Amino acid sequence: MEVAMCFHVHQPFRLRRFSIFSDTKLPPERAYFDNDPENSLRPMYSNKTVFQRATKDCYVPATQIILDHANTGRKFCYSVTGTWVESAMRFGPEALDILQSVADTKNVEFLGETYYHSLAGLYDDLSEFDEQVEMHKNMLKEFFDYRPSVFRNTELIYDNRIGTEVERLGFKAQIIEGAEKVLGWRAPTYIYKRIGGNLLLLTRHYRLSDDIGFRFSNRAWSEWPLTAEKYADWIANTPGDYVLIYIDYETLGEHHKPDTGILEFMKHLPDEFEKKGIKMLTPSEIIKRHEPKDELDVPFAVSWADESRDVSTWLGNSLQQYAFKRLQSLRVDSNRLKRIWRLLQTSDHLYYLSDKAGMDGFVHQYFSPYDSPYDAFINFMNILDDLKRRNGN
Amino acid sequence: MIGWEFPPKSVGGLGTHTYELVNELKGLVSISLVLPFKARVEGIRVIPVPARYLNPYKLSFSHSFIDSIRAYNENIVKEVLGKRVKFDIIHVHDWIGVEAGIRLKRLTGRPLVVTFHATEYDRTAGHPWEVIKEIEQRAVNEADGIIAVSNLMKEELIKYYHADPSKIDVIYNGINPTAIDGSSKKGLFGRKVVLYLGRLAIQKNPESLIRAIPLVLEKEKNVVFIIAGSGELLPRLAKLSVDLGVKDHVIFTGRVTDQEKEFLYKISDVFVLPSVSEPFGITVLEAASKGVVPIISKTVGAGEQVDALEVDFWDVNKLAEYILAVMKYPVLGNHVKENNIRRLTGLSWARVARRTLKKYKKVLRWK
Repeated sequence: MEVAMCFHVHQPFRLRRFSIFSDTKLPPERAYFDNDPENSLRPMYSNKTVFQRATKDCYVPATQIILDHANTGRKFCYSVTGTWVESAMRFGPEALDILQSVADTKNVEFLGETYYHSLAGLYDDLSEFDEQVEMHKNMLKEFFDYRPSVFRNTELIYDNRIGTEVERLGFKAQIIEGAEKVLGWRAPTYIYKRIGGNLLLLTRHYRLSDDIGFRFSNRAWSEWPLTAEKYADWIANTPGDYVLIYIDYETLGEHHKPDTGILEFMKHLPDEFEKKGIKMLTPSEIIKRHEPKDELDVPFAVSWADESRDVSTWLGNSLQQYAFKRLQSLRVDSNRLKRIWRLLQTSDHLYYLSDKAGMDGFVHQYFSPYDSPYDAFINFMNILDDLKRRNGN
Repeated sequence: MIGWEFPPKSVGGLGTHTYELVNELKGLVSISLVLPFKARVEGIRVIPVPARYLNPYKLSFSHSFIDSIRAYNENIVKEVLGKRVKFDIIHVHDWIGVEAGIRLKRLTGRPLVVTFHATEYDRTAGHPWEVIKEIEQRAVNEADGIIAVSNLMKEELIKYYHADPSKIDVIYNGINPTAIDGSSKKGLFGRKVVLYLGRLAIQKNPESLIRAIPLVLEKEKNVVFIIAGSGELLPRLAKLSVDLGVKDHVIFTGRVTDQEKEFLYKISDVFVLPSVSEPFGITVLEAASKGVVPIISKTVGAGEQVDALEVDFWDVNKLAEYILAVMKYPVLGNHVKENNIRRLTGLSWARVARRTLKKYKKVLRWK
């Protein structure tokens, strides 16, 4: 058995309160984005506070553990967004430093994606998507000296159209969610191919990923406490060629605090894998060792988000659809305003407009700096309209 | 059941609630209803107890006021016992009939249920009158069961009166399902309409809306603000609208009839209730049921039952911003409307009656 451990590393640039009466003489960077906790929507959620907290709880201690493993030849995989790297430079350079040390070991793979963690893959015209993927490639080269050959789209959003474009851009493979509605009777532990093309598809094993991502610290869970030994055992006994684990990086120390034992778990996991004869490999290595078993036809977009595993997380209600349409159709001329427009494309901004009920809704509210989805909609639209005005259309 | 205001002579949520509740309950239990005036309700025995010097619609807080309350409560007890009214449970709405409720409980051993529609803290915007506060405290202590019209109300009872949370059940106000209709054409002579409907009292904070008007007009002139209702703040609000230079965009209607109220809901785009403290706010439900987008303060309990844009009651800027947003982005208003029509469909008065009956049973079992 082989295992790929992938980490999703991302932070958005959250917005500040921008009302229809706000001072529009400020430059847009300062007028729209919360650059210090003073003008944030909620101090606990200011860009600086969130990043510094994550740096202390996760980015530094968790990356130190991965670095130690990588130094002894263990393989890992990261997807790092452009907005995260920019945030790190501004709010937590030590988080970037240590991740660069991990890159230096050459035992990690970095995945391609859109620089802004955007939904550009769903736009009618994919040229914006192409440009953001290119920007991200350049960023990986500059900061991690890495050329990506495997792609992952924002929140693993995938459909046939995106697969076609990603293949056209020269990627060998893409990681997608191993959702039943995509796989049908097939197992998420084999390699597949995009329908009618050559792009290889690796599927995330969501159940085993969520065991770490969601359930690890849940004392009501029948498998609590989850030890590295038990977890390695589960993977060893999973039929198939590989298991792809893909989790939010903040899972390690932030969503599950250190006192849950999550960091100890990560410390011991590679040894337990070794004992059970499980090889830790990168996605690029895995696709070289196995043949694709079948083609996957994905006419409707899937993702790793919410119970529904589709794009309803960002486009599920009429407010989101309206904001998305307006965002997509805004054409910005100057490079300076284009950058602002792109920062607004980060998918988190639309995520905050979701008003799903139940557990999904609870999770959305947990991550949202706004009072309500309505509040988020109005603030976002105020900014979009102001940007449109500055652009002169 | 001991009531107070009652339609058609109703000014607030208590009257509507009592009326709808007894009409839904009468098929399930037999009800004798004490009111301070004569009224006819089919299938219900109404016991009028004249309240001397007291008028539900014009309370004057003179020094004799409390004597009048006391006399009124004594008369209730006399009437109920004198007429040999049979009952298994005593149900009082708000503080006015509480003393009678407690006396009847002592004399008959029947359990007491009190519904709180508001407390003295709400009515006086945080400056409660001691005497009434004491009566409410006694109600909380003596009641075998308490009904709160929202979670906000429940929390208030716990906070101010140290009520035992296990005694309290939240039963939201309802809406008549046949009254739900969000299809009317909005606007008045081509202008957008922002409606305030309620008493012009400090507790309801209509001043915030008046102060938001110049901010709205700065961005959007094609709008008219209708201030419906009367109250002690009327002269002050009228003067304010002149001082702010917005009087041409404001209509003060005075008190409105039920038909006028229906008409106002029909034409309004936005309903604003910026109350300092409003345990429920039944008008929010009524407005929402007619497809009006509610913009309310976070301290309005109805926000627990319908979708509304919520602001802090003092945040005039945000109030103006939200009014403008509803006008600018039709998708926003439509989203709120659709959600509300769906949510309100489940909120019938029959449901309120069923829950109230369940509460009665709970209280009787515990005795």
